[in-house]
Amino acid sequence: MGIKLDRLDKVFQTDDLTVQALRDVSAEIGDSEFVSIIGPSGCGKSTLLRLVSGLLPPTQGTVYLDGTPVEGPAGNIGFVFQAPTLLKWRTVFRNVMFPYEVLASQRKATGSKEDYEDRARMLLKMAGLEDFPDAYPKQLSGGMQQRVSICRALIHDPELLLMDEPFGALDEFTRERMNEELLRIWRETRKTVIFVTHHIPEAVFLSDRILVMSPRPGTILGEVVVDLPRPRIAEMRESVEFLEQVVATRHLIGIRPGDDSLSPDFSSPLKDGSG
Amino acid sequence: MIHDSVAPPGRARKIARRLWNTRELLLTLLGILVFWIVIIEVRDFHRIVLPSPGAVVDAFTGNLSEYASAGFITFYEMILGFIAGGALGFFSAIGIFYSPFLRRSLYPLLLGFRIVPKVAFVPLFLVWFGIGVGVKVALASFAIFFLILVQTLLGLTSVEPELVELGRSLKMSELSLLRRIRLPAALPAIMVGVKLGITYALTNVVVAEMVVATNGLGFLVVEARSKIKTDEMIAAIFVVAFIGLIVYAVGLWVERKVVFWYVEENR
Amino acid sequence: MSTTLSDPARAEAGAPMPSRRTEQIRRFSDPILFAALFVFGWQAFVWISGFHPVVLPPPARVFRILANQGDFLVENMLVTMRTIVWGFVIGGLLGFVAGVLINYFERFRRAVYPILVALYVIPKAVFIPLFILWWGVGPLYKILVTVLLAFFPVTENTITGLQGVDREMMELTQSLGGRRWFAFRKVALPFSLPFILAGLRIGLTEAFIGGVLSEILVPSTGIGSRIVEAAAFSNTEFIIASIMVVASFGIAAYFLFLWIEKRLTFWQ
Repeated sequence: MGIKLDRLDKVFQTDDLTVQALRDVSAEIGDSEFVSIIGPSGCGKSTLLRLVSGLLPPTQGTVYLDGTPVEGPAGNIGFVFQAPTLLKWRTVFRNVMFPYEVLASQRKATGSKEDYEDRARMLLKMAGLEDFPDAYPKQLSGGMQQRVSICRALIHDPELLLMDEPFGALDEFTRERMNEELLRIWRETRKTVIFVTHHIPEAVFLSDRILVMSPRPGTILGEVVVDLPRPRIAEMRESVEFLEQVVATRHLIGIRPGDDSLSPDFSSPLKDGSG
Repeated sequence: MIHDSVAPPGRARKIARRLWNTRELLLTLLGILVFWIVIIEVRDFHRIVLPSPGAVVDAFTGNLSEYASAGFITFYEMILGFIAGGALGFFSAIGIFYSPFLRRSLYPLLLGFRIVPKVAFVPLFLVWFGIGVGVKVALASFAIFFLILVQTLLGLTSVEPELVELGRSLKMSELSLLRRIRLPAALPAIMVGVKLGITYALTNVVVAEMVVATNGLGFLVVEARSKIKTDEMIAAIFVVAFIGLIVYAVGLWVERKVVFWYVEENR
Repeated sequence: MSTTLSDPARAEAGAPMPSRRTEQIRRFSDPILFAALFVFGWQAFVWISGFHPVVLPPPARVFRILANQGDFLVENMLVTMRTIVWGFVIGGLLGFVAGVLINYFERFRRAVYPILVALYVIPKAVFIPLFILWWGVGPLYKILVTVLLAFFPVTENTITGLQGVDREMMELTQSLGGRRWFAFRKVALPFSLPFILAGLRIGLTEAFIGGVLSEILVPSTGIGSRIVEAAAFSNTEFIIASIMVVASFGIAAYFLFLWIEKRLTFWQ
């Protein structure tokens, strides 16, 4: 699914406050492209995802999905949040099946319940959860729960996957493993992915392209085209090319060794090689 | 959270907006008042069934000194009951906390006992403590005793184990552990009990006054009923409601002041 | 408010853990032991103090009442229970509906919520004389009093529960095109169920107060009326026996509700 963001503005208005969350955001994302959006907390990344999904209307501008303007939730999108956001009273399997139920209640499900159940089993297998269809969320670790929520996002075969800091709550080891698994799933399904994060190496490892956003009001500062070969494997994280991409992204955001008071001793061997 | 690009509205505009935001509430209250006036006309209610708002206001202004002295009695007994029941509940909780036997045997009973209507004990208290201050304070303390006991115990048993370990690692004595770690950590739960307790105390004093007493606000309500003076009764109800609101507000305020660190955290 | 007591002081480092089995036996034996000690202390206090039986009857007399007139007391309690159950069911339902309306309809919330909060925190017993005036002293009046008391905690907890529903889960449902009603049934309602049940538990407590208080204020039928009668004759042992019957029913109802609550919110 191709996406076009056309000069998006988003202003939140409450009784006493007016907050501009996004200003003049434009971008294009190609079919099957994996794009990360990166930026500091509160830069409107999550808001942007909600505009794309049609959950929120933009104050100005338009979102086009495959050339059609978005005017509300379309139903062909998969959503993954930072928290696993599972229904605690349902088993893993029934959690994965939840989107089917929603679509069926709208008579929008394409295919029979059995088709979806087969697909759910297939996805659980792909995520290494085939042994836990009847477990309840509280019985699973955080990483496993997040994998359930990724399966759920894929059950209705959406053309677009929106991921809002999905691995932000996981420890570093789990995060790296989940990155690799996500790439494997993406390779097998070829969805268009918009991935919000503030973890730079993660964005570099996963993406075709990284859009860098500024603090509120959020605007797109620039983009980094990640030219690392695919398939990406764990060993690449230690390659010089990978680190160069990380540093380039850091510089675009405005982090430079020297004016980072938190780690004054940080000095990259690549300091002079890029940026 | 919110940094720049925020336009601060003017003070006057803010107040106007606040008022505007209560428009639905004001309309509802106005609607109730209009309904009250109209239904008397339409259904031709006798003033015993439903007096007019004007009559209630007259009854209120006509008996102001009576309400004041009754209110003072109720208030005084409420404070007595609160302090007596609260102190008893607090110290019993500490005792129960340190006795595994009492905890196992009493805690489930205490939880179940919360459901037993304390008002059923009024005749007993009447025999034991006499009519007047005795029975009222007894009922109020009895109700608050259980509330504070359960809340204190709840607070003490849910202190983070890490905090206790910290104390132990510093070789604190159990008394100082209780004073410096357990009780402060239990304070939010205790303060919930205190906030509810003040309201409980008022309710129970008023109930006792309605059932047996010879003075106080609850008594004024039932006395007006037996005199078939509905206007005075409704006026007394308003007085109780008003005092109830003030007491609740005081409870909230005390909670905020004492455990400000907790209240703020949980905003 | 949590109602389970895990045993943290024991679980803390240093305290020796008794075996699992002893622990379980003690869980049952200790309350019984305590009850026995309580009765013994009561008897001892009667001997030492030398109080007249009207002031403090010895336990044997109270048990004799329970043995001889237990049926009569239970019969009266069942009459009271009918008021309590009706009041609880109606008050609980109304409270739930009000909570849902207040949570989902901004205008309704602004119009009535402040009034409900005010009514919640004031002593509602003072309205009882008005109820008597308008609806007489029959069963209807008693049920209405019980409804009045049981209503508010359920409303309050329903709102708290619905406010805490996971926003992202609702967004997810919406993003798939799910309607409000669907999201309410499948997501919001189960999410807030633990809160609603806790509110109902408090409502049940209030319903017991309503049932007994309404009878004490206007004695006719029910256990409350029997207590007032006994008080008129200074029949203290009968009063205590009646209280024991009320307490047994109350505690049984409480734990029955707790059991149902646990079953309904098994995922907690």
